[in-house]
Amino acid sequence: MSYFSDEEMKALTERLSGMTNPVRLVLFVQTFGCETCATTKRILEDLPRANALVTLEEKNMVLDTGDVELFGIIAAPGLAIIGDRDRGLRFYGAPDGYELISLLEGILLASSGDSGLTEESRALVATLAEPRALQIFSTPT
Amino acid sequence: MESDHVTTAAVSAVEFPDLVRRFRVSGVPKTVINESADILGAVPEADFVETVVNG
Repeated sequence: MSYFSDEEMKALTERLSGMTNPVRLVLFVQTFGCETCATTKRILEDLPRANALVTLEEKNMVLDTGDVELFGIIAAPGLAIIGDRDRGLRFYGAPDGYELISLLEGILLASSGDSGLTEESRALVATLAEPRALQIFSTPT
Repeated sequence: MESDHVTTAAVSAVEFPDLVRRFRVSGVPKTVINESADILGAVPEADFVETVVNG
């Protein structure tokens, strides 16, 4: 059963219609100690229905340790958003409320492979020689 | 996305109170860089990128 209503699915399909290339979502969940894993899974299962360019894979945070390490996942529910290659986009928590908009934005970015930054910003970022791990905290409201 | 040196994680502040405490998140959006420096609030792109790159 769909998490979203028919009306919401229509809006979701419309929002993702801007996708140009496939995006692979790798979701990490765990059975215990994760209140929102089930909801997150239900929400994400609707995305491939909204646009066939989206694929969803499910991994277990406890059992699939190789994948947890490969994708550098730190918590569940954790999601790796992968376009033409892994550009380090991750999403932690249930994508409901405004968080859904951020997730869809992330999917569209991964699909296009274009950050949308200005030329000046791109040039500055290109000078980076050391790792930068950004964690952006937000709330659903 | 513009550099393989940069990874970006969106974190729900409501769901991960331990991370919120650890990084002293008092308001959102808050961006933590390499678990130390941070940017609070929405800032212009140029300032944001400058802080991420040059600290």
